[in-house]
Amino acid sequence: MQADVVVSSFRLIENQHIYPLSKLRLSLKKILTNANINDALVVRGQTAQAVMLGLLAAFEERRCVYLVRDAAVMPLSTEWSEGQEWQLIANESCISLPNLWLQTSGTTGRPKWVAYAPYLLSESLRLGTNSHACWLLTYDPASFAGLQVMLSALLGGHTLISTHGIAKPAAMLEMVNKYQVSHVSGTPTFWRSFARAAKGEVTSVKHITLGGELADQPTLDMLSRHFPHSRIRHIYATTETGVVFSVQDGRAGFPRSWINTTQSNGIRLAISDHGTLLVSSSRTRVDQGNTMVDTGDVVELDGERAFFKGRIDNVINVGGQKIFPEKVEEHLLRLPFVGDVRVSARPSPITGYILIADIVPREGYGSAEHMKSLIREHLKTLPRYAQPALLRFKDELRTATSYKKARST
Amino acid sequence: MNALTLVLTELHNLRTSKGLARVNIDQGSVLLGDELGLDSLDLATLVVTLEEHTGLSPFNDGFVMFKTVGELVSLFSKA
Repeated sequence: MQADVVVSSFRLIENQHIYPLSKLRLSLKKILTNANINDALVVRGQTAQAVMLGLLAAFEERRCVYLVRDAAVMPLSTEWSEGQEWQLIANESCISLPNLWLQTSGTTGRPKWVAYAPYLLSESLRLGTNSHACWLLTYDPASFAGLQVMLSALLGGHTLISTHGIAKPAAMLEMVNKYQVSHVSGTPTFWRSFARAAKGEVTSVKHITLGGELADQPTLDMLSRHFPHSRIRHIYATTETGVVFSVQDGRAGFPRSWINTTQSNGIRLAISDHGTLLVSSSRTRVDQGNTMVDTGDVVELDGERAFFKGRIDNVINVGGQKIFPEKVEEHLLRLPFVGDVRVSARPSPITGYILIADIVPREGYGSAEHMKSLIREHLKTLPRYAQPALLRFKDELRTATSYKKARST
Repeated sequence: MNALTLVLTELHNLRTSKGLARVNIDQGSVLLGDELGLDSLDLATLVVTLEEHTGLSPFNDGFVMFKTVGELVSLFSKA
């Protein structure tokens, strides 16, 4: 903790257990009982409780902490045993700087370790003054987005509700109502799913944040209709650079003027020859690497705005034409009865690939055949090769961890 | 529904969606070109629809040459 931040009232609720701050501190003391002063704490970040102990170790005990997202990807030293959530390792390099180390998800190449000085992590947080704030954690706790949520709740002295072990949005909705959750941050895929489950307004939720995936206009519009009394913002962040920017004007993308100027948070944006967004940050150290991080997110300029087209590694080649599935999804999400959609590639003997769309329809809009004919009509405004050849209706889309839409087929 | 009926039904659906009038289609009809008014993207759409309906993937092991309705039907007739 920074010297001037005193936390006294935080509590975590996970799997029906309540962990007040005093209990978490006691657990941490026990873990560190036999530790040498140089020992780093390695936490396997499956539960919010385990990751929270890691945060306390970094902030309050000035320990070097490694948060492991996927133990199989990058074991640090010894083997983990079944059910083990943390271990101590001797690490000389941790003596001078008590860094918090995070793993990148590996969507932009091999997973890397990224080090944060703890005070830099808390810099971009808005803590507010509301001591009754209650946060819902929908992200992987050891991801950058998850950490932002956990730190906001911890440093603000708030309550944090973990959704560990809860997959269904209906069950999450139940928790939101039970604990009168005020702050919810999640991926656009999470929000579409949550809004379908919520149907009516969830009055306790005052602050809505979208992160982890690109925020599209139809989803932002749907949320402002669904939650008219909530503040809605979308955050663009990467593990390598931290929070890049936060947008609150209700529009997808970000102001074009932010490109090629240095922001107040020390971040600089540029666009690569491939059209991808490059981000440089003076705040982080990446274990191997360039000063500019290529995010892999392709940006398109339109007037005074910069919009995201999609990820460069998601591009699908249909008969020689390159399609961003995200753009087709955005187009389909404009239809009120399309609750969610995934557009993916199917190999074709004739065109190389062809698009197929898996659609989660909303209830009360007539028969599937009726909706399909409306969708086909709506698709006619896209170029032919960007129109999915096959429309399939599904109850839910498959998601990867933390409600990111699963992209592999 | 046997493969021939399925292919003919889907061909008529495809042509209807393109605003083309109904024509006689038989096993000897050539898929690509003026006769049926279909291009490669239409044909790719037809194939993926047939794959979905039949659960068969006749092109999994590489490309198989086909030109006529009859040849396409035989690709989707294998159990």
